[in-house]
Amino acid sequence: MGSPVAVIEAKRAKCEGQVSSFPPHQSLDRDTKRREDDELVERTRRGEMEAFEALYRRHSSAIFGLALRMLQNRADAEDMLQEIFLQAYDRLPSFEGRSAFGTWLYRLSVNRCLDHLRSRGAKEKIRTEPLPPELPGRVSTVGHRGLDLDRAIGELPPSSRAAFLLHHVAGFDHKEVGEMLGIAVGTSKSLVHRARTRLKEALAR
Amino acid sequence: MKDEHPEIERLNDYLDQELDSKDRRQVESHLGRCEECRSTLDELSAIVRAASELPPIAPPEQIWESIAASLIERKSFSKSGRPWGSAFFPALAAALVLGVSLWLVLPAVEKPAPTDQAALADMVTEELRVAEAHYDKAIVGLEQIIAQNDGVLPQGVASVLNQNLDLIENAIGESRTAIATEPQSAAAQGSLLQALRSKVSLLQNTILLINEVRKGQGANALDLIDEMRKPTDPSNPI
Repeated sequence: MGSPVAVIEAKRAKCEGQVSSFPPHQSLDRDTKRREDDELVERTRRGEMEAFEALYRRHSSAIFGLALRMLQNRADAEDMLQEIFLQAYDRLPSFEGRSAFGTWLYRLSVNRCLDHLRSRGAKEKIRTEPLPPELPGRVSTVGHRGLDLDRAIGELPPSSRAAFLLHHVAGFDHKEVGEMLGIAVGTSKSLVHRARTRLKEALAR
Repeated sequence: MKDEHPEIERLNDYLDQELDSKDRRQVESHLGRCEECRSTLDELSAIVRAASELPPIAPPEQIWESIAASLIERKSFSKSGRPWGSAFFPALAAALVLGVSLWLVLPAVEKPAPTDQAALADMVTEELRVAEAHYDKAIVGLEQIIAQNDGVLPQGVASVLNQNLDLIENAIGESRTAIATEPQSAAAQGSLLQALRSKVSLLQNTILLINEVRKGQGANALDLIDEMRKPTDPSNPI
């Protein structure tokens, strides 16, 4: 172990490295991607199915990852992905381009997932059946750490889960997360911090 | 002086670089002396790093096929239509209107001039060709998904579905024969589009049924089976 100052400097460098390394999906080519998306949106509005398919190909994996991690059930996430893209298609006329298409799509998606969880929660309360400890079609990602983290994310309360996924996995800043979830910036930070603390506890078990 | 551990919320703020310089120095000073808090910070850092490395997850291919089939179905046959739609879909809707109902209405309205009529007929024929191509593409995709799930449905259900498909195939064949004889027959064109639509709908329902059976949702599956019996109704004009 080095001197306390050296240790601190190392920690700081590490933290700064992490802070500057995310968001991962909003790097150099963000503007280019946005321009390409805008063009595809415009072509979709003109009725080109191929353009909408291209939008689907560009965003479906990110949205499916979000849905799967939010809902923790593969069949539900597949249904959700389909509903999200059909709804996105229906709502394209009202997309004004003030935010990037990807941001707009994330907002739609995370709110659909939260609605679904609320509705599922209500149904489960009515049925008063306990959830099985291992849901079928559980999230599976590469590597044990990913798998453990995915499982732990599934144990977070829905709003914390949403904020954590949007901020740390999708790479949106707290202002964007706040706008997507209809909450204040401070609330987004608080939800993300709470999520990290709970994840730490869950992963330590 | 007793060196109190900072609350975890404060460590989170430190991690996010949200402390002012005085608070940051205090936390750093503590971290330099406290193994436990360093360990906590390490764990929080590791979670942030691992989360940023969680990969996107590719969805199964059949989801796009279902979306595309739904869009074709809805856009082509929606009663309300879509004001912002393409040239293709309104034209397709026009073709349908012509095919299914215009021949009923035309005797009561003034006929267009011969040249307009010919141009309209050409347009409808062209749009019919485009619509057929879209339907055929959707059907191929849906059939592939069903083939990949062969054996999921109970034998009796699969047999009923096949009977319905045979009926629709016959209707498609008859419509195509009629179009070959009279290429600009509105009735034949409308009949073909409706039969293709029925096939897409039946294949979509079959996939939904496969999903419900896989999920073990018996009640939903029964509802779907009821829905899918409808094409066998002789009063249903396929």
